[in-house]
Amino acid sequence: MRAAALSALVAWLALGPSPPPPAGRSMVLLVDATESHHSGTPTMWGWQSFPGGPTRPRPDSTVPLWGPIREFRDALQPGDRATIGAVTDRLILEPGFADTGAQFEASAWRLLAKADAAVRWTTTPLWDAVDASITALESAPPPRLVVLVTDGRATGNRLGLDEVARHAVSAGVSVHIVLGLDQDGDPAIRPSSEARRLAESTGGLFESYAFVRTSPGREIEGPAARVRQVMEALTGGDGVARGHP
Amino acid sequence: MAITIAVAGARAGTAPQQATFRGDVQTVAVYATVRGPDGRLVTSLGRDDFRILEDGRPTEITVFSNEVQPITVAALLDTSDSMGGEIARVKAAAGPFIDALLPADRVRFGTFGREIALSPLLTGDKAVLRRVVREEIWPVEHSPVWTALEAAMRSLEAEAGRRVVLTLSDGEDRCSDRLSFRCVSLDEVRERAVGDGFMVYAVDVQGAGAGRSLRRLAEDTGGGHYALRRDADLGRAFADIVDELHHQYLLGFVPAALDGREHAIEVQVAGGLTARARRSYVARGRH
Repeated sequence: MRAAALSALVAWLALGPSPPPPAGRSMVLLVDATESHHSGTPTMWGWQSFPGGPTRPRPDSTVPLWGPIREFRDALQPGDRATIGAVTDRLILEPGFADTGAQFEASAWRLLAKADAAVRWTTTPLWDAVDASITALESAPPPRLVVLVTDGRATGNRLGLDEVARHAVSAGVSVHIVLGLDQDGDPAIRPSSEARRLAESTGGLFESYAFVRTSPGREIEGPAARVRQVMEALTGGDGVARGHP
Repeated sequence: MAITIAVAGARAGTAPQQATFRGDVQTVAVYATVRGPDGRLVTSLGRDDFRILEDGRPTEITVFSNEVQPITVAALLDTSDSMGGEIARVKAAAGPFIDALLPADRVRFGTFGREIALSPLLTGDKAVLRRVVREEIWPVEHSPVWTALEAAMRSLEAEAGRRVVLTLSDGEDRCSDRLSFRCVSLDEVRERAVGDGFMVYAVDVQGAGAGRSLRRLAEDTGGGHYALRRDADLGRAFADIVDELHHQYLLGFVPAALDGREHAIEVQVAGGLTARARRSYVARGRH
């Protein structure tokens, strides 16, 4: 027994203590690329004219998603690991994690090209996509978080919202949601309550913005500005990156 | 479609007559709803109370059951903008429909509008069905009724037994080439429903346009058509449909020839009762 303890001590002295967990966060930015989200309904029309798009050739129909992606990229901190997924009729998730903003941007463009070619006038298995993102984060170092940008219309899911919330909590993943609301919609069936429930039950932030047809500035700035707010809240005034606000 | 019939379940309070199995013999399944003069369901008839005419000629009833048959249903809810103000009520109406299901029944919910969104879950788990209704029904534009019906049938094509497509709509088909899917015509829907033996039930909420077509489609397939006012009790209508489906008789006969053609069927009952059943079938072998 004493010999074993001595052996362990020698090994510890030789190798040194276990390295501390890496700093920074493990993150998935999940963008809803279905048509109902980014151009098919008034909710997201404004994205079509987003002025800050990239200069290189890009898949046109997914360009409106660029605003939130840019804000997320700009908010990455040293040590952060991030990847991006798109919800079409299924989840398309870029494999691996980017360590820098440039790597993340490259991932985003690869993803948008794939999303552009996918079937997008169909079901929107939003909660299944969040669940798969949580699974992708499970083996990554904490803190772990998902930022979801969507209009909240979820269809064709195998999993319910509560199941996904339980998975997130057990995996230590907070889900932050930026949700666009169509003000013309029926208040009784707006998707905000479901999305808010998922965010709050996982310790995540919920931000929404209303599409206003007569206010072009708000149309354009809505989703990107809300992503910026979420990322700022997760960084904090002390500049420390967090998984929770 | 000619099929081999399997039967399960038992109806309480009646003396069930078990269906017989005929091995590899191709049998045409006919589900019949029988009502009395007062409109009430009649559920206690025996094989000898029925007569089936194939192209006007009597044919032997080789399969009979008055036991409860499990149902497999694709329930389509019209969430287009013309129904926009009704969606909360439509969601509420799904409750009695789900409550009325029996353990062996399976249902897939779907919605149609700019997108046709069918749940991947075909289940009898009532909690799951309630969750789908609660979380996955949203208003959208357009109303591709026929395309949605075809998609619903396609989603059940691998299922055995009685396959039902139930739609709640204001009945107006509005499909557009601008949508990302091909618009399906009423003729195509009818061909598929009759050819593959689907039953179509339509709850027509004060509709225009496609209302008559939906009624004809429902009648041709042995289903039902309920024309309701917008303020009618939708939940009651849904529950009545489930009740009707649970109290249908299963009849079967061997077709005279598998010639690939459509043949007329008429189901007759004695004693001032009326039977509703599919009006034709396509005489082709099992796929």
